[in-house]
Formats: sequence, C-alpha cells, structure tokens
Amino acid sequence: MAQLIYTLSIVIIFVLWFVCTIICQFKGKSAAFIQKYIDVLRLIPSWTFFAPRPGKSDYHVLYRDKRPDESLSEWTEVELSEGRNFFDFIWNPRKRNKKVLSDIIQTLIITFSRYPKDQDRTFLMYTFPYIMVLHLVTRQHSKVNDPAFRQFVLAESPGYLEDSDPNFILLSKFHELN
Amino acid sequence: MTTLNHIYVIIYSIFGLGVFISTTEYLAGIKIFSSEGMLSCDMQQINLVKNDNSHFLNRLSAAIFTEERLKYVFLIRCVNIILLFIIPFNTIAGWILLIALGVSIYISSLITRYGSDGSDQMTMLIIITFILCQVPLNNTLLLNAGIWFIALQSCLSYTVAGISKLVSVEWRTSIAMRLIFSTKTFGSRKAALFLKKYRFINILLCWNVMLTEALFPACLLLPLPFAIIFLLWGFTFHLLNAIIMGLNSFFWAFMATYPAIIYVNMQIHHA
Repeated sequence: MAQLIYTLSIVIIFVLWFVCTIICQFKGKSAAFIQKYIDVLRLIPSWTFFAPRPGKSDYHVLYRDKRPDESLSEWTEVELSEGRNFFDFIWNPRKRNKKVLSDIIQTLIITFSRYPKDQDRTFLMYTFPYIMVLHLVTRQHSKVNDPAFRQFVLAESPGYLEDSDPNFILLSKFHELN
Repeated sequence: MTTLNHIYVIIYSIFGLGVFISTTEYLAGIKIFSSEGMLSCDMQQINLVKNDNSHFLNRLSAAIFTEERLKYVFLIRCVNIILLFIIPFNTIAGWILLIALGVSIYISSLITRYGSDGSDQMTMLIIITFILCQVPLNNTLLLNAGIWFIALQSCLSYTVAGISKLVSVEWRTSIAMRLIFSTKTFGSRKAALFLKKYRFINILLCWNVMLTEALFPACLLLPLPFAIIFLLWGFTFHLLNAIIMGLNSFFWAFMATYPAIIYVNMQIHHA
C-alpha cells in the first residue's frame, strides 16, 4: 500500500513538474507565479537555448586606477580565457569564465534596458551583477603604485569577424580601493 | 523490469561520464571560486543570503562555499560517480550514493547560477529522477514514470528551443549561427569565416536547426527507424556544438536522455 502511494505521488510530481516546465517557457504571469512561489528550489528549467536573442558578442571588462594626485593609469583588460584548444570538445575547464561574464553582463543589460536612457542609473551599483564585476575588478593587481580609486568599463566586441566596432556598455564610477 | 533497469544503467553510463568530466573541469578551474575568481565564494554567499532568507541555506553556504571545501565536494563527487558504476542503484547503498550525488550537484548549482547552462538543468532533472525512481523496492510503474519524464523533458527542451528560434528575427533571417560562431565565447574563426563566405550554408543550417528542434517530439511517435533519424541528427548536432562551440557537457547530458526516448518510442509502438 505504502509503495503504491509513493509511486502515485511520484507520478503526480512528474506530471506537475512537466506541466510547470511548459508554462514557464512562456514569460507570462503564470510563469512568474510558479517561479516565485512554487519553484523555490529552482528546479524548473528554461529550454530556450540561444534564442530568441542569440549571443552575438564577446564581453570584456577593463579597469583603470586613479592615484591620490588624480592622475590616471592606462586601461587594463581582465584576462579571461579566450580561444579554443583542440581537445575542448572532450574536456573544457575554461568555458565557465566566459559564460559567467556573459551571464552577468546580460543580466545588467536586461536590468538597465527596463529604464529610460535619460534616467539616473546609479541604482545599478546596488545590483548583484554589478557588485560581482566590481569585486572581480578590485581583486586585480594594479599596474601603478599607490592606486586610490578604480573604475571599470564593460564592453562588447563582435569577435572574430570584427565587422563592427566594440561598444561600451557601462562605465562605472570610481570606487575607493582599500 | 530487467529491461527498464538496463535502460537506467545505460542512461547512467552516459550521464555519469558527463558529470564526471564536468566535475573534473570544476576541479581544474577551482580558482574560479577563489576570492579573485568570477564566482568568488564570498560573493555567492551574499547572493544566497539575499535571495533565500533561509537559515538552513545560510548555514549550508557558510559551511561549504569556500574554495577548499568545494574542492572536496567535487573530489567526493568523482568517487561517488565511480561507485555508482559498480553498485546497483536500487540497493540501500546505491540509493544513498544517488542522494549524495544529487545533493552535491544541487549544492554546486547554488553557487553557479551565473554560468550554468541547459546541460546543468538536464543533469539536475536526470539525477532527481534517479533518486525518486531508483528507491529500494521500486516497481515497474515507478521506473516507467521516470523514463517517460526524462524522455518528455528532453523532447520539450528541443521543441521549446526550436520555437524560440522560429520567433527570432536573427534566426529567421539566417544570420544567427554566423553571429554566434563569430564570438570568441562560443565560436570559432574557421566556422565564422566559412559561414561568411557561403551565405546559403547559413540558411541551410539555421532552418535545419529551427525546424528539426521544433519537430523533435515526433521522434516519440514515428516508427523507430524514422525516430532514429532525429536522434542521429541530435547526436551530430551536439557533437558539432562540442567541437565548434566547446559545449561538451550538453553532449553527455542530452545523449543520456536518448535511451529513454527510444524506450518510450518502443513502448508507444508496442502498446
């Protein structure tokens, strides 16, 4: 009896999970409700790979320092693994860095695209993706002696074909370094 | 029951190999969780506390999310995966190992919310299905339900991906693949230049991907020889994605679902 109840419970869980997965593929109120109140463990997948907007840019993080005398250093790019090795199709430990940065920047873009361009976007500094980038940037070694403040820029480039110029996505304020 | 258990063993063989590879990749790139890394443990703890105001998760994250401890989590996971190749799932020891593997995968998913992809989601679905269905004293209905769930989720994933591409301007105008392949993140110089030179290949590839993905659930209903055509397409698609885009984990996660699709197809046609 207990086995039957367990089996039926699992079947019901699978059915509900599958139905919720279908609903959550559409960006409606039902999906938002499920994601907020039902999917507390974040187990409902999103299956829209590379669509509707395919990733068509490479993202870059650059930073520069300001000394106490207000002089500025050159821009330095945060090194993230680029290019591909032959055996990456079997074993590819470097793939995460780029994907993480890409996800963070896309989240930031989505966040600030919700607000008019003329609106003050200082609030972005309090979003988690911004703080993640700031954390990454402030942990980088300085190329100058005695840096007091650090500023970063997020940029996107078209990659190998380079048929358009890089775009600046975000220029941060100067943040104090400890 | 024996056939069903064999299907689970085949699924695990592919799935386990994929998770093992992915875990060794995490171990090799463990610095990503260091204080200088993109997924700095300190930062991820802040995110967890912010999003999940639960004491349990706070304590769990504080206890586990350090670079050193995560290394042990991944090492133990490797051993766990190997043991599950030896120990039958539906024994008490096997089931405990499945739970341990599931918990380990879930813990790392908490810290890799940025940077995770569809293969991680499929991996999570498969391991939870195993935990729920490979309980000691399981039965045919339970095992069948798990196989159907994996097969249906796999087909849903393809069809949602296909429909999302069909509503996208970049995909319909056949420039999407050239744009993706020209990025250094997911592309390759050779593939980008090739697609730039031969425009008609772009049309062929984009529409091939869109239509085959959208129609993928047909492989459950078509007679097996025709269903195999879809599965061979999927095999080639994921293999090329691994080679050109470096998305190796997708290959294993999705190939692991194919035995379930074949089994469901055979069940439908023998009903």
